[in-house]
Amino acid sequence: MHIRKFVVAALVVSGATLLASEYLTEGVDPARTGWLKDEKVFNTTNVRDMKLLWKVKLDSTPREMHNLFSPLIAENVTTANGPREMAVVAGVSDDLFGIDVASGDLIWKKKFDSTYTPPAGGRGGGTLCPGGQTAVPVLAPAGNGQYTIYAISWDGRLRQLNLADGKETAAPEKFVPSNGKPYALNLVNGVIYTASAQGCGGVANAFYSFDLKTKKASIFQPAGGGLWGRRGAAVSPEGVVYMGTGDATYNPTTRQLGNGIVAVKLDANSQMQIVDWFAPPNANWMRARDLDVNVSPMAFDYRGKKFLVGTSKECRMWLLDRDALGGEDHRTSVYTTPLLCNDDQAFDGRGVWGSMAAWQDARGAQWVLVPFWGPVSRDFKAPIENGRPKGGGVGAYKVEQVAGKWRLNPAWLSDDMDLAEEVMVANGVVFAYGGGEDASQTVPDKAWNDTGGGRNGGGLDSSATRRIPGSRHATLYALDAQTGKTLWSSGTQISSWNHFSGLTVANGRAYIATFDGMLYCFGVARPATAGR
Amino acid sequence: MRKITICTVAALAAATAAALFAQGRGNPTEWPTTGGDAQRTYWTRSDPNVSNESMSQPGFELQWKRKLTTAARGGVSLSPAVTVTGVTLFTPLSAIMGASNDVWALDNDTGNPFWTRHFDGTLPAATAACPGGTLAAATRMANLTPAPLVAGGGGRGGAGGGRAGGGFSSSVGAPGEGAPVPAGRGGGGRGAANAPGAPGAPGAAGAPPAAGAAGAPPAAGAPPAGAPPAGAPPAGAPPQGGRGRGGNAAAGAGAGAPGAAGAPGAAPGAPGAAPARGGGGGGGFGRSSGLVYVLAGDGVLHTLGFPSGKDIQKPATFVPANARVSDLIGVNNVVYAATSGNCGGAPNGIWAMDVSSDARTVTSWKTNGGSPIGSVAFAPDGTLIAAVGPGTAASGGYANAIVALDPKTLQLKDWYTQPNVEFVSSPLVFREGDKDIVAAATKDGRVLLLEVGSLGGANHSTPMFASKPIASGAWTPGALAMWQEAINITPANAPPPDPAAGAGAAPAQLVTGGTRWLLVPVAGKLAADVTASNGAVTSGAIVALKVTNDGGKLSLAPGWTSRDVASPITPLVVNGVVFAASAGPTATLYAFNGSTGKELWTSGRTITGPLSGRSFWAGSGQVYAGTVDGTVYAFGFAMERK
Repeated sequence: MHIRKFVVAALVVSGATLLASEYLTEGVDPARTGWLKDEKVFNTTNVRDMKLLWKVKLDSTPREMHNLFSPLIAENVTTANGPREMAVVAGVSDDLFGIDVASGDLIWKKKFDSTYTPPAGGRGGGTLCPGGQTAVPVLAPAGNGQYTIYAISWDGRLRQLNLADGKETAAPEKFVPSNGKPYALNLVNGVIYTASAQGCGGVANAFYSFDLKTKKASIFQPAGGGLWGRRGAAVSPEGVVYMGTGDATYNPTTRQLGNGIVAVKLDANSQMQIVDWFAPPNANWMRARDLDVNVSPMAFDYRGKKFLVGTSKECRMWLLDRDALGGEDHRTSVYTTPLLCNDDQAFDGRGVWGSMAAWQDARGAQWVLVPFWGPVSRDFKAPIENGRPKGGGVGAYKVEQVAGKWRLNPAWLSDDMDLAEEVMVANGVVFAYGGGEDASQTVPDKAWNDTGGGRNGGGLDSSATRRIPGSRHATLYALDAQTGKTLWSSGTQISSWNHFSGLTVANGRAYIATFDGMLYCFGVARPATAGR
Repeated sequence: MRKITICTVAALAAATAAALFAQGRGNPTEWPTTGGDAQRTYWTRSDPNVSNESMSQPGFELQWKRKLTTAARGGVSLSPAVTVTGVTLFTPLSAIMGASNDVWALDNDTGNPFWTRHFDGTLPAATAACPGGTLAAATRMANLTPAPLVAGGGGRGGAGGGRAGGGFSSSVGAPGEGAPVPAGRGGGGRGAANAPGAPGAPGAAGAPPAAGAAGAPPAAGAPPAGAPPAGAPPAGAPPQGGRGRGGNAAAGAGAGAPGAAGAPGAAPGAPGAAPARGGGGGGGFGRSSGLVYVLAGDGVLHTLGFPSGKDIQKPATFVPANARVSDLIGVNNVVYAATSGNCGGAPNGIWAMDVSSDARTVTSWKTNGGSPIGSVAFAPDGTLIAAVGPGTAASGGYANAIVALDPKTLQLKDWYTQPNVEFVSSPLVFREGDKDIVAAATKDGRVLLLEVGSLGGANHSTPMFASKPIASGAWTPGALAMWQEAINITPANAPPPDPAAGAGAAPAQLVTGGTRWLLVPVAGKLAADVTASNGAVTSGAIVALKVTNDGGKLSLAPGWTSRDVASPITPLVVNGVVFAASAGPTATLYAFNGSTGKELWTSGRTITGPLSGRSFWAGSGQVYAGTVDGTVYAFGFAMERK
């Protein structure tokens, strides 16, 4: 089904574009900063008039609570019908969709063939292990307006396709074991990186790399829990690969690196080797409370310092020095913030679950933005507070030196959002969204006089059958990056919710996909000389 | 003859797995009711963090304090609390009553108020004799069967356990062959059933968890793991026991397939209500988080769900409003309380409410004489034991007595009484050999031992044993405490572990009971015959008496005395460490080696106000104290919490 809605006032002309903003990889860049440095269309004025440009229902079958992932955008793709700005969207059921972003038209659809056959009549892995395609692909320019899509299909093979027409440009390559749960791909210097989690399909929780030149695939297991940062592994300008590890023992004596941040790098043999790691001082307590380090770290340089910022379900941020992650004992941060959220230290429905952003403004201030689920911490205070979130929100910090020591100082707090997931920054505008899913993973208590009578809850139940009916709808926001003030909201225009998906922004358009298979494109009028 | 307990391989493996689970997922020890168990021993058998060894090192310190707002009544603002682990899977809580119709659930790790309730109703003005309000401690369902002895050290379990089979590793495949699949390594993480790792090398393993904690093996002769204990309530009853022993320790350690629907606990008596867990149930991610029973000032009993504090059952009147009520206790789906002082017009007596059905039938037994002293206790066969203080007993009434009641009907089964023997403590029950014994203190400074099966003998007035005076002058110890040393006598050539018990399972452990200690808090001076063994005593002390058994004839022999402790209340015992609390004017906590009385630790001046009544409890490897100004203090080892 194809639903189309155009904004009449949009000025769209063909020809060369001056927009110059692409979204080739989840999180904008390999370091996963979420900062669209090249964005020229959106600004704090025009974003207030953002409108729904189109929405399209893609033929994608959900698996558990997963469906569509965030689209990747290439601005000037050479196609048989001329240059187009195109999006590629991955669907969990082993599909890719190529879309003309000017119109929302589906140009091509690719269903991966598979060497993996799920057991007939067998139970799936549940919400945490949906099976299917789970990694946001990555795009790479191939010259002359050509782009290569790199994706991992359900059977664990690396796929390479032409963005223009969706045709495979190379034979699938063995990469990771089948039926696992790899996260968003990263491509740096001809090497694809991913990380896997939840032990889905019996696949080891690990970093994985694929050297496109040597065709060697490497695995590094931190001996921690899952590596499930939404944006996959982050890669620093030095080529070091970082990821948080989920719940498992932290014990460096026995080489177990649970609840930490691990850094690896490829050696000359295309094999990942450990470079460094950090574990917060309360890592083993975090494990006891199931507070995984579940967020892709971000690498950025500021005033000569090489920083890495990490966070977790615990909901405090660690500012780390990439040159000595965790210091001598691997447990000393440059700075650790108090809690931003999750006073209950709950393992579900609260904490940081999505993806952060880091950007520098024109005055040279370095910002770190953190989206969170659940109520803001009662002890968190910011100079500018647009609300006291209950369902979720965004906390903004500035990286500053105080008495010679680096700190993350609270700057502003957004208004309430329904599970703030990811943030991105483009030309002074913060884009954020609330996913709106039912994020609870335990059965709730019911009082004796509630409908259905008394029930003592608390047991684990993260099943899709329970959570889907209780899920609400996603909401997209545009905030003033300096103050957190809400400049625009999609309100109720998005009817469904999403789970472990993302947000894409490029060239005056913001894209979000939802569980019902819908891809939404909101945007503003482009300059008259802009491309399609 | 000393009792030897044989822990089956499977049960011990389960306990080991649970211990490892505990070490990886938090301390599993629980305090389900005042006094720690149905026998009111105030004793947690083992703990992975606390031991005489660990308490001999620095590190036990204030973890958090939290000020709660509730108006004191009769000089008391907070009750003792009860604890539970694994609420919404991972949160350990203390449920604590506030005097003015308040109850809180506090996160034992952080002090964060998880939820709070305030009950409606106007409370009468408090008097010294009838303070009213909500000072009766809450309760969970406690196991009737005492936890078994566990030998071994424990303490500072820390980061032991976890995955077997090696740490971080790297490999690379041949070109075109993909990433190598690690041999024998699967996932981990929450997708793979949250397994904490194979119970392999336990690392710095502590002793398996204590009674009432997840996974402690059942005692010899007890039902096998997972089976309902004798007298288990019928299906439809609310979850049985503390969330502890028996059953699904191993399941608790590793269960919880991702996305699997839990088995929520339906309201007791409701159609399709989950069957009783049997033996306490143990962990298991699918299980509900449990219930806590609290009494409001209007005499209404509330059944609150631990995840939310909501009334899971319709509240029902239990005792008359504004009665003076003892701490509650729940056993076999019946909640019990004692009323004293004829406050609120409530007769002195014992009350029982069957919470397994909506009928919520209340039964009572009136003393027609003296007031019950403190809380009731239970023998393992379910017999209810109560101490009755002085008073004028009407015909058929009781004063200065120890009574045994049927737990269902509250019919009198037996009694002990002597006109000149005035009880000043609630009863404590313990098993020695094949006998269940009651210990209680009398106003003249002595401790009596009585046999549950024949209280007072044929004439109901002959105790099994009466000690010499321990205290001089008037004393009101409130309650006694007890613990027993456990000796591992597993032979060096013990059979290898059962392969079915899983990799790394410990061999069967043979345990025998060592010295049994009865702990008596004495405020003021000790009796002349009592020798101070850890320094002079001028204000008070904990006196430890050895229970001796000479061919079935029990007696109490001198053991040790602690250093000087002003106004001590009933001590707690955690894994052989005796924690004492000096009530005030500024409360101070102490830790003593349970075998010698040597001081291991003190809170010093950390606590800044007087203790609130008997607001002192243990759980999650910590000890807690509530003060009159409404502040709760939690002391423990940091466990990397900060």
